[in-house]
Amino acid sequence: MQLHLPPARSALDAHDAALLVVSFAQLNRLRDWVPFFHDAFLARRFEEADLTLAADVLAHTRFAADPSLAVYRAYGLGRNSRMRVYGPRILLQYARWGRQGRPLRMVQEDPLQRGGDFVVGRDGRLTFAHTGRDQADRPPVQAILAALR
Amino acid sequence: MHGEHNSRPRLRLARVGEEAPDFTLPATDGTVIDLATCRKPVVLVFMRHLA
Repeated sequence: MQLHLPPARSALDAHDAALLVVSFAQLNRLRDWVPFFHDAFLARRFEEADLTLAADVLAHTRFAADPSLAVYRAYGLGRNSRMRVYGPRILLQYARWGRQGRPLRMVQEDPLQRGGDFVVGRDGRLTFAHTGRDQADRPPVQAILAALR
Repeated sequence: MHGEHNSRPRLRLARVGEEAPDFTLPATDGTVIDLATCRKPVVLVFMRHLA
């Protein structure tokens, strides 16, 4: 979501970089989820930051489905332990989101599956690779943008 | 299904400096994404479960 905010968007544009979001949900479910993400998360985040949400905010983002997890595995993204996924840090995060009124929905996919962030450079090699220790461990957006080359 | 995942060998995170593993995946816009033909640089965000 941070990558959709204007400073990050400008940096992506300056590097003519593509933003590709991969999910292990089925394609139809992912297709249905994108408008929810726009309305429930992006619109709220922009409002909190007192920013105008451009109608084409997602125009430069492509969403791909990998329900077989083949690509996740190719990048080394396996499953977390239950302790990490449901540890105190994560439960606190969910409590904070609940207080903020963020919509919390029933999880349909494997909650233990890890995510990750990568940057592929112009030469086809990775210039950034990160998978969090748990769901709350996300890389700073500046670190991702610094790897654009 | 989860037990099946756990029985798999431990995966190694792709590392900086390595060739990015290529892939072809269907996209929500009806197209097919082939990493090899994407303009680069590319930021890849692998999501956890959908919120």
